[in-house]
Amino acid sequence: MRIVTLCVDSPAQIRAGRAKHGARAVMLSDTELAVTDLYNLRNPTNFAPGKDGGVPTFRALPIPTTILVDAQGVVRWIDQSTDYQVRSDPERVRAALNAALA
Amino acid sequence: MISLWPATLLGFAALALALANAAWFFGRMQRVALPQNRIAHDGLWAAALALGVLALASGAGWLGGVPAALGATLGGIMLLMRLGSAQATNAPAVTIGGRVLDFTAPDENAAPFTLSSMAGKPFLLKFFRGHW
Repeated sequence: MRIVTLCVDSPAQIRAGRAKHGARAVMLSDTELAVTDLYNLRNPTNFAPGKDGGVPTFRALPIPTTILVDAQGVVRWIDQSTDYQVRSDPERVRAALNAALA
Repeated sequence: MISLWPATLLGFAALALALANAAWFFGRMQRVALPQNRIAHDGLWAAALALGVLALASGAGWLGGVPAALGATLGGIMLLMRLGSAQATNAPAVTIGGRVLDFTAPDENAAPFTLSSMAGKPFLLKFFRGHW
């Protein structure tokens, strides 16, 4: 399964992040939250490290969301986090993939 | 004179509980396996906080007081973070059965990438908070 990710990191921060975790996904930069806003996924107040990994502050970030898109470009499944400590559980994603693409 | 019972023991229990819960909690977080329902973790953080405070209130000396303070602090901080972890939810601009919205964004080399170039095979589109 191919994966495309979006986050507010700069391309340089994404390069550094990939070097750490080695994920093979297409990783895109959305520093101004333009795509996040296109998808209406902006959370205006998150307590998070500053833009360059600096002092934590309240700033806008995407709501962690996973969207499954089929070969025809149709959305088949959406998983949205209601708690920033919780991510899309790999087992749950796998089960959704199997159900949606069976 | 150092009293080993019960305040000192309570202090060590608070720290042991907090550390064990931290190992469990962060291990699950690392494996992306933290469930939505974390009542067990919340209960253990609260227990570590309560035991630590109880140990200090019972007159634990430095031997019991240090682990009591550490355990209570860790439990208290984690409970506070838990209270603030709720995430805003919006109705996404895409819906199940509808078409994905095309866009172009820079990749890690600042080269433009257009989503519609993924057409023809299924894929996952993930929005996340960033690397840190």
